[in-house]
Amino acid sequence: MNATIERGVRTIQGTVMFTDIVGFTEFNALRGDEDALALLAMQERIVRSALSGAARIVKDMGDGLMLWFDDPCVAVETGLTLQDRFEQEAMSTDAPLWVRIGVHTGRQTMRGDDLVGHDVNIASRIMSLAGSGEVLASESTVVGADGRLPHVEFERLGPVVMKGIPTPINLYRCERAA
Amino acid sequence: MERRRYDLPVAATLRLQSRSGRVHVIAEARDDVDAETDSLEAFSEDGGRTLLIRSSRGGAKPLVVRCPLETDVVVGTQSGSVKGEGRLGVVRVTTMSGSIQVESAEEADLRTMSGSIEVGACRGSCRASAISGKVSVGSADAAAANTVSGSIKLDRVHGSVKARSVSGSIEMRASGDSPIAVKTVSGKVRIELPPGTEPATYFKTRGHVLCDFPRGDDCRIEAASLSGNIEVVPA
Repeated sequence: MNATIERGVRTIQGTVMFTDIVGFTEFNALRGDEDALALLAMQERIVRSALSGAARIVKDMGDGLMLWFDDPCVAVETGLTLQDRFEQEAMSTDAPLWVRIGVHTGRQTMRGDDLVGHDVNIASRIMSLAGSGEVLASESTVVGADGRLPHVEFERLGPVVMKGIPTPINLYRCERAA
Repeated sequence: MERRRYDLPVAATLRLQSRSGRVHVIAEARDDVDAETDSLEAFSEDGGRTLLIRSSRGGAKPLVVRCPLETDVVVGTQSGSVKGEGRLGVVRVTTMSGSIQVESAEEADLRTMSGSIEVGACRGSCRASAISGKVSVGSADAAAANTVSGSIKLDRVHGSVKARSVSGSIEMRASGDSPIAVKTVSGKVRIELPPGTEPATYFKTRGHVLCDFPRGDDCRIEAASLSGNIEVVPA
């Protein structure tokens, strides 16, 4: 982990990923709390099994998770692996494990085990623009991957003007190359 | 009101940005680009292959851009609606809260968080993602559509279809020779196929299933819903 301390604030460089289960509220209303909790547990189990190295779950966001990676390549690769596993799980059960994922690389400020800051907010906004089953990443993540993911295609979606974010963010959809 | 004219190199992309204003792109028989709004800035990017036009501040006037036919267009707005008129090239639009309307595109990737998406014709693949708004596509070669509470209506899709909605209904008319994968949580599903089609069907729902076709292998249809009804009927 590359950490720096400026004026008593500890910042790190890394990639933040947000996941979110689409339709969780409707599923909860239809199937009740027990099934809803099982769906959340299913998501967390799959995510934990896909993490390696320095990657970690930062916190539970209710129906999603916030993750941190020290390498944008690992973040993108994990995002795609997660979508594959969510899809397989959703097909083998009747649980709608439909997850959208947003990824952004930048600087994060540590607050205990939590991470906060502008780049964390951007990752969250990116996730909110993803459709279920998609992995969207910012340009900083794609540049950070630096051509090290030859089996991944990055389709440029263009600059997005996001609420509260002064500079437009170039977004990419990540997909496994055919 | 500010109005400017630009030369657009051949095979160039037009990139339009507006924080809060509406964006209206008109593809027509012309060689240059004409942009008009309250106040705008323009830059050349990607070694001259991309022309970026930015509405400098949200104003009352929409950003209206006239461009050559089949121009590739990328639009990013925070809250303005986006309208594409005429025969455009590859169109990519992302808006946080506006609606999106595209008359004709070579390919399309359109996403909004709270507005609706309406596509007339897409000659290639069409990808549309909305949260609360509905998605409507007149015709497309292939389609992938996602909504949470909005409905999805695909009038005529020649190739493969992937559609997913949480509570909105999904309705489509497909060619009957390409795969269809449809999922909802509570929305109903209606798929129309040409008479005589013999699809390989895989249904999963706690609702009712109606399929008016004999099983065969003309196309694979996967339709799943937690509680919604599924209908596969002749067009």
